[in-house]
Amino acid sequence: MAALLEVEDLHVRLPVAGGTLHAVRGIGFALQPGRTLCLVGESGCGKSLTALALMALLPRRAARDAARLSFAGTDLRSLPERRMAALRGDRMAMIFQDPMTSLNPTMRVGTQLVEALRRHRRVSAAAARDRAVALLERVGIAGAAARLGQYPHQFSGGQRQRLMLAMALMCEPQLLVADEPTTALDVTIQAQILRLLAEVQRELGLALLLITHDLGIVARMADEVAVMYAGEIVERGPAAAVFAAPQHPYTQGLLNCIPAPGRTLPGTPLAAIAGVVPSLVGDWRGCAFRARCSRARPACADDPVPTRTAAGRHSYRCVLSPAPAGREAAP
Amino acid sequence: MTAAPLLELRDVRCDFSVERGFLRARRTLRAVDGVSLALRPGETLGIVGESGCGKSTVANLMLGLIRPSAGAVLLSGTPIDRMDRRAVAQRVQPVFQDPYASLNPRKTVRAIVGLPLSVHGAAADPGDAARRVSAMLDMVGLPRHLADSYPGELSGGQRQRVAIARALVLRPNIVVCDEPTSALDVSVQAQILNLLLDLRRELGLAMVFISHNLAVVEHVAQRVAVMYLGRVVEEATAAALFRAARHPYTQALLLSVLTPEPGRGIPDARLGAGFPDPLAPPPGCSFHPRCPLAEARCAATAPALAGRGEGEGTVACHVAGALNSAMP
Repeated sequence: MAALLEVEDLHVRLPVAGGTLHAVRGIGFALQPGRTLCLVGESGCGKSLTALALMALLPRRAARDAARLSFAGTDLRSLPERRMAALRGDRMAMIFQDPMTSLNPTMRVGTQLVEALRRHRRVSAAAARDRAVALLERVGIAGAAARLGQYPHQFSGGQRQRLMLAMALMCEPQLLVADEPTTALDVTIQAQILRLLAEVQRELGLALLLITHDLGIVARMADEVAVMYAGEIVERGPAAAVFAAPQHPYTQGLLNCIPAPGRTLPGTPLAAIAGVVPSLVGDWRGCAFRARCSRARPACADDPVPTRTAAGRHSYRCVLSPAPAGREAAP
Repeated sequence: MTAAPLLELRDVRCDFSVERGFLRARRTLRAVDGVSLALRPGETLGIVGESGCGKSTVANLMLGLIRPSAGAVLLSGTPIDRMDRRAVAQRVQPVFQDPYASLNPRKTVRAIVGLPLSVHGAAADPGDAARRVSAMLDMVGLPRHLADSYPGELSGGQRQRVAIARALVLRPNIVVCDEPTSALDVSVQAQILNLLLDLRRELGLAMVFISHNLAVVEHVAQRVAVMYLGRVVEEATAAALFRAARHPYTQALLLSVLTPEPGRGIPDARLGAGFPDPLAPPPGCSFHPRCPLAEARCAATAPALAGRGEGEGTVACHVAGALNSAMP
């Protein structure tokens, strides 16, 4: 199937006090309808800026450029803001970690939902209201018709996330970008929201770009995974392959450093990744992970870092040869 | 025979008066409702539960930062409110979640870590204080050249190391960690957890470890208390609790943990309604509106803590209690 979203060699640069921050450094991926791609990485790896770059919602001073950035055949690179605004919220929608950033606290929930549809479609207010009620019920808000008259603060955190999802779905988008949608929620509510997201995606055949720092969420939600580090995708592939045989030392480190029942013995040291993320201000050569990597060698400082194939569509950027399955690969 | 508790909460209740807006009566929020907990020497007690369950209030009670409305907080048998604040601080120290908010941005690392020594007059002379601060920075793995930096120049993990150094410089025997790694990236979380485990062993610390992350609590705690809406609903050794949770809420919490195992999908804990309003807690067992096993009696009477039926530990549940007594 043709890709709905295609990204090649995407860069995001931000001017900062000490020079230029290269926040996203030449990443590429494709997303098919009905599939879930998870962008995973730690804070500052560029995953959220990637999402904002796709939606053309970057801060004004940030610069975006790409060799390819297309959505359903439309080249987003040169699209005027007026036409981008027509796509956004209609065929491509986004939900955020904090629902209150996208919900207007002074407007009734129903008005906001109706507006989301009528901004893009010529429908009657009554029809829009009916759709809002149906969607609120679909996302699990009981007594939806009665709650349309309420304000966002009258909903709990989990319910606000449901509201935001309903609002994102008003125009039946083809692409949903979800940036850490459950990070602020308790674990039991998180599971409920993720289940809902997966169900809705299946029903509507949505392409879902899910951005998270949580490898547990990635494992349970993703068809495809892209692991980001310091603005680059260092490993990508089908979720099953990446989790069964992670190849990049950073991916291996991430998986090894979380306590996991049955794999880590309580009270024993965890396999921490030493050091901190490098500064991306200024130019950078070679592998950005090498200062923290226990298997670094002189070749790691050379450009370009080779992209290797582990199996099929599973690839990674590292000088090391593919290792067989098994996370406990010797350092 | 188990050792006498270092720190004990005895049937503690803690109420807050909550303003609800102009011309509306103030209401009482019962943040902690009849909690009894004991921390023994060298032990790590984990406290888990979702936001609003009262776990941070328990931390503040243990630190003597707030007074219980009823019941007693005892430090080696002495009620904490009859002790001098400094005497409490010398024995119990906190590590909080947000290393951005808990460090004074205008002080250097050296001054932050040294402050408890001067407040308590604990150092013999300035040279002694400087030596103890340097030794502490070494112990928490902060390079010496950072001693004159300000918190704003440090990463999240480094700041949390400063917070730990400040907590330990007086050599307390209890450290209360309230979500110490929740604001950190996972790779840094592992560094800080390893550090806490090392320090616990080297200094023989007793720890209270409060977190919403069950995998982390399972990793560090020997005993775990599960809280829901101000009450402890289950308490057991970490091994027993994670092997066989008895309370339906504990079971739902454990089921909701997303381990990095692809292909297993998102679990359905069958928790119907959302978290109840703590200003109007449900009658009977406060978990019953969400509980998949709820029966008529659950809405009528609150269950008391009773034996879990397997080894040590307690659980407060009518249904789980009946299941246990029915077992051979």
